[in-house]
Amino acid sequence: MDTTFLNLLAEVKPPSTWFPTDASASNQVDGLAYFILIICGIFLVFNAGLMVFFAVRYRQQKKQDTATGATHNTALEVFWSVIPAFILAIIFIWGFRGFLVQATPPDNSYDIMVTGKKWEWIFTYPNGISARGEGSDYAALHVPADQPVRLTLQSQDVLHSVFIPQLRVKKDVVPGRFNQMWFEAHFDEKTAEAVELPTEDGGTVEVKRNTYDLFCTEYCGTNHSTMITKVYIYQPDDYEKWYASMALVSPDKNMILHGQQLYDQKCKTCHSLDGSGTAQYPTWEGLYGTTNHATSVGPKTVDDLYIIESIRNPGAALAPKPGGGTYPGGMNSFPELSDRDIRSIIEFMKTASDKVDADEDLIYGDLNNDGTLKGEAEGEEGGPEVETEGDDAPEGGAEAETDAAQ
Amino acid sequence: MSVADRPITTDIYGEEIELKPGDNYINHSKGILSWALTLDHKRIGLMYMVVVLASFFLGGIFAIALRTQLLFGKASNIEDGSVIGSAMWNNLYNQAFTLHGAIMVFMFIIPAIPAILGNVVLPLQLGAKDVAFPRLNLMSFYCWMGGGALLGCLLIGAIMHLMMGGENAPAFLSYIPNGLDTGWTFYTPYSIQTNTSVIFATMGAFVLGFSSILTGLNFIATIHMLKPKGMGWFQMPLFLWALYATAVIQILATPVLAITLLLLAAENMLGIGIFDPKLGGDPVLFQHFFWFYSHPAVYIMILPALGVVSEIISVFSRKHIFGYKFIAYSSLAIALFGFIVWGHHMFTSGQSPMINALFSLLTMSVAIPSAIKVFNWLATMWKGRIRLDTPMLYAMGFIWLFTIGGLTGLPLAALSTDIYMHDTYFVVAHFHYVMVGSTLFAFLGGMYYWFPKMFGRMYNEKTGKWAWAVTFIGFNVTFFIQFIAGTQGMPRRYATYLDQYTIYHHISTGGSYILTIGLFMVLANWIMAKRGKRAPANPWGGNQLEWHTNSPPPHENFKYDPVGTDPYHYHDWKYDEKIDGYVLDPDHDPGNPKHKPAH
Amino acid sequence: MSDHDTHDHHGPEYLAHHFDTPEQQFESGKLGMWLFLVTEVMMFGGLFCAYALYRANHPDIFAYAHGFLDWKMGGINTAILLASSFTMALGVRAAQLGQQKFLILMLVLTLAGGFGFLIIKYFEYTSKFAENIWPGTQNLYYPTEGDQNTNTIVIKGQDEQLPITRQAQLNAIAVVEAKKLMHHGYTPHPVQASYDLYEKRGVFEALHDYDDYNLKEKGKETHYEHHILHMFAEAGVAKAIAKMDGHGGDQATDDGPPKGEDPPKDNAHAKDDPGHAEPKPKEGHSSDGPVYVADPAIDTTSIAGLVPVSGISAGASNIKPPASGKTGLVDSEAHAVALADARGGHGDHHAAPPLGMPDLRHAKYYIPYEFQPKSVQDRIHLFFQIYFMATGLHALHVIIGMGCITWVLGKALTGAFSPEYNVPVDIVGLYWHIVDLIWIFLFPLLYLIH
Repeated sequence: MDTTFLNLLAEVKPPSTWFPTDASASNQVDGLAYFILIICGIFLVFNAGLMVFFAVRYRQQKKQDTATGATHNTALEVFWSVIPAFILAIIFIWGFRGFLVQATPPDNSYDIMVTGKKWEWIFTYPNGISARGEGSDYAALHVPADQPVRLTLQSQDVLHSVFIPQLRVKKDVVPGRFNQMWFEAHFDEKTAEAVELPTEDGGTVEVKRNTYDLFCTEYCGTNHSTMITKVYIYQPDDYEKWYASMALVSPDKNMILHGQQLYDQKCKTCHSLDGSGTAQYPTWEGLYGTTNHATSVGPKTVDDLYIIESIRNPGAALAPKPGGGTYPGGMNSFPELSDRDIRSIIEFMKTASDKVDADEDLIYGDLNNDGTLKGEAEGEEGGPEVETEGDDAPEGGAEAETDAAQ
Repeated sequence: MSVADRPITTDIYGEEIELKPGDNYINHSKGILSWALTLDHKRIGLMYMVVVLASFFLGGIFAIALRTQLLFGKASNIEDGSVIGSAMWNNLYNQAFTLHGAIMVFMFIIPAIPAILGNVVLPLQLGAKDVAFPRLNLMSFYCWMGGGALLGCLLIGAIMHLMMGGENAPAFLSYIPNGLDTGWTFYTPYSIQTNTSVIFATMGAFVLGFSSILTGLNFIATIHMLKPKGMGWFQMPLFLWALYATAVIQILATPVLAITLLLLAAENMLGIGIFDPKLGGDPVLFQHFFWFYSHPAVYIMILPALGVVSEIISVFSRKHIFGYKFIAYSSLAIALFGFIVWGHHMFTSGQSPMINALFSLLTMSVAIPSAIKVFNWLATMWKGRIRLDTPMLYAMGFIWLFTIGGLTGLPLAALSTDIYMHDTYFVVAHFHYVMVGSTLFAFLGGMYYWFPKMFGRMYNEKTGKWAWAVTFIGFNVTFFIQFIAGTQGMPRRYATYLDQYTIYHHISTGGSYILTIGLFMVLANWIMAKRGKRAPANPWGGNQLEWHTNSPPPHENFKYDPVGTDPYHYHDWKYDEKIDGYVLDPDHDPGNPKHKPAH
Repeated sequence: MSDHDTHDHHGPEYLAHHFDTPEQQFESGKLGMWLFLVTEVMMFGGLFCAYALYRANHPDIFAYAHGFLDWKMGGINTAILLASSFTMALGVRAAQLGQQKFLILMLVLTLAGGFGFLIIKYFEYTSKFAENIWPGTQNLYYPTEGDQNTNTIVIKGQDEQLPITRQAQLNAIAVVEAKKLMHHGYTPHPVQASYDLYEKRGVFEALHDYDDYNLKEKGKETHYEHHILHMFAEAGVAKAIAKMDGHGGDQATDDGPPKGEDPPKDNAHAKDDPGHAEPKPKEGHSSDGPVYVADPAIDTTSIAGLVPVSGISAGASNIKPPASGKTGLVDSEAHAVALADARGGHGDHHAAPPLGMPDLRHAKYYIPYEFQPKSVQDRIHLFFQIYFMATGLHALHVIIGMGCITWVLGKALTGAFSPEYNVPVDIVGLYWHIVDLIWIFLFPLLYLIH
């Protein structure tokens, strides 16, 4: 029986620490938690110790006994009100400072879109791919180590919550709202395991990664307790390999291809890829990455922000005709395009330009080179219109008609 | 000499009185109607006791059910086609924890101390004949019954669906409520989308809320209007202060729950969309509304418990309470702070960091009045003459549980740590320590403490102590391990769990069985007390006015109008070995117009 | 009750056994009533909070939707309730003075006031229902999934019931609105839509139906004119445009109400470019497609403050700051600056229109309902839901109050009240006053939004 109990105890992992493995470089939790633990321990031992000591020391000897003693002492009351107040103030400030770090994703974050739905997680990477290969672990969350990772959270149905204990982060996934969370992971060589991934040339490549759990912590119905997935953490080099292989295993989601299809449907009428037709509308040949691109509001760099803006709000900054003046009427707006569609179009557009290293961008999703603007470009992903755009039949119909009119 | 079998007891002066039919509230009148239509606060309290304990039993069944599920729920037990981890398994678990929570919160913890002990003791401590509005009091009881019946329908419906549901379910089954699986918090939008009977549950909680409002209203009016001669605000026993603070919360917060539940019901019936993001509504607004009530509700649960403990600690230390005014004011402070901290339930919901900071700071501030109380109790025990009877053991158990529960609130109030702890078992353990451990122990302690007064019989002290030990150990085994599980990252409301959490769940389930045994021992002790020794008027030597009348008290509580004195001044009461109780020298009884009662 | 027969008080028979004096009993009764009124206030307070939140987030929607309510009916009801409150107060005084007959008269009058209120409420509700303004899913503006045109609802006329598609009804309203607005010098915002699109989409047919079966017969035209003017004229169209270009609509949930009423104006530029100050709607449509016009006149410095005009945002709302859920003003400002950078780095928000562009900054624009983002369309119904919840709950209280008054009236008829014993009249009076008071708040909040 003893041995059974010891066996049970041995199951407690890790027995020596209070928290699970710390894989977070942005850990704001453990220090304060241990501080509070110590404070709590002191108070608990003090209170309980005094209580037991009094109960023994002052135990009634005869039932006749009644005690007389002080009934109040204001100095004492103030003392034991102020001391906890100081400690509480320390805890509050410490907690708040930590929270500010937790709540503020760094600008150079690597962005992943997280979609929660009953009862699975969908992760969309900067290339627009939501890897969901059946029976493989591609559907899990894959992140590079030593780089801030920002998750933008959206829900398709009810409340969920992303919780990764080893990374010490949690955030609710609220429908109708876009929450963000971020972390920076350490790579732990000792616990890393090796896996083989397919490469473009048909071979395989070995990468090492750490594996942790990701939980849903906001009750979301029947299978809430199975809304668990894994988090894989790679060294940056290995992450690139994984990223490339992810694009391979999701061929129908290939962004450039998708972008090309969209181009054929929507853009080809006006925008050429080979410099022809410039009298009508700007060609895409060499367009992406152009600095000093003249527009109605001054010279601009043709980057992701500019393109997103041009598609979403075509009137904002119009390109001039080569001969002077602007094109009549500007461009149609395409509200039916999703954010991913626009990203795909951008990726496709990059292939027509010599001013950009498309491969690098594809892999790292550095959609533009300007850190401050990048946030804007990313932000559109969080637009509330994302889900509804496709439904907007009247506008879509209207666009189709005006398209035809051209 | 055994007094147990003779219909004789003693009054507060130690004089023997013969028990005649009709001279106390229990045998004052006969027949079921005389109970069902009674306006006597003590009888209403006893009726509450029966139904509230029954709901406790019911809620306990669900607790044991879900803990037993968790005994088997580890991930490696899940195989294709196995029951564990199937949709049915998960639904059972979700219904179990929801109904456990809803029943325990709305039907046990909230009414336990105010409705049972408060109803019996409050007018007695005020030296009054009844509460201010006896009819309202009865109405409040029937509101409770109505709400309880609605939740009961839900339960019966859930069982019917379980037994008859499936492919060839009878047609009428679709009209029967189908349990509830939203969690007791009813978070939208899940509570709009689920096919379980949210409308039934919200209406049940709505009606129960009415009961709570009416009780609170009655208590405030009674305390304001029916204080006896000689009792100002600061001569009131601290239990009354606690009940007063509780009633303030009941009056101010419960209507907000009422409108929230009404809107939620309308959301389900009409689809009004105020909380539904698909219809332009805001689910986080629901959380704000809900917690605006439900966080103060936590103090509805704990404040009366604090009052009970203040009484017990002082009486059983045979010493005047230390820092009376600080304890009294801290009750009010907790009640008021309780209203401005609800936002700490939404730290991870994405509300603005500044709002989070504000709520974090305000939440911290609740710790101060709570700490004041604990220190004052310890100071009361200091140099006392401590009697370790069962009520005192419960009060000391309370201090242990409340200290742990309160201190573990710190990492939940501090922002960065709450981000980690939120919605894990750490939270589960924390609020069970505060709401269940503390309130339950204070309730049991209070029941033991006032048991002689309520029933005129003594319980078995030895069984009482053993039962205390078992419940205390059982509770701590069940829930302390959950702190570790939560810190290790175990999320709450999981029907199955990853293998690394197995040990915690096994220990916790084991503890819950021990706790169950302990609670049954308590119940057995109370039932056996039917044949217990007859209680003297004042078995513990308290000077609060409820001890200034016979056990059990007569229909109108006192033979003469009592006069308030310092309730914590025990020196006039002398221990009488013959009756194992305390007697008062009539010359020291300011309420006594003559040597003997007038009637 | 048998419980009572043992007490041996020497007080009047209405004195309950547990009170010492009648005064104590009356005071208790009144205290209890006041406490109950506190709970009423807290309950309606919850509704008012919901109202305040949604109105702060969508002031334009509220301004628009409230036009459907008939402030005259609401006003009459306010007067009736005030009068009945007054008669109730007189009744309480009569009871205290022992004027039995006057008390009965006053109670009857109060009761009549309650009835009058409910009758007008009945007509008000039924006229809303006739316009398909229902609580719940049958509301005209209730968000639908998929193709709205297939979603048929029934116009409830007085004599006949004709099916009309919901989209047709909405379009019809929109066209009436558009006509009236154009009449008042407003133009549809050219970036978003041109008036011609209406024609193409056959909306006039729908209008024809609607005119025939609803508008003409019931003379509703002025009614719709009323709300559309409210929606667009008063929400500040230029503000909306600035916002549309500069900021997403839904971010508005983070921010407070609009800071100012006047749209940003720059008369100097109007003089610079007088030829384009007032574009005609037809000009917006050329053979090359609709004219899409740059609107550089974005007051980037004020964007953060203007954001709350959430309703009239547009497709451009997809360009927005990182959606961190609740980012607050800080992000909005950062976004404004970033946007200014993106537009050429100088953030000159008073620049003249470029290169032969029409200057649209000073025109009066509106954005028709159907070109508003779905997030706005989907939220219009919320106003009516809150309206029905609040007024319905209030009406329920009126009914309860009337029940109480009837009970008091019954007692008064038996002559139960005297200068010594009148507390039931008193507390029922208190209740009636709170019912009145709640309406006093509801009426301006729902009917008189500006």
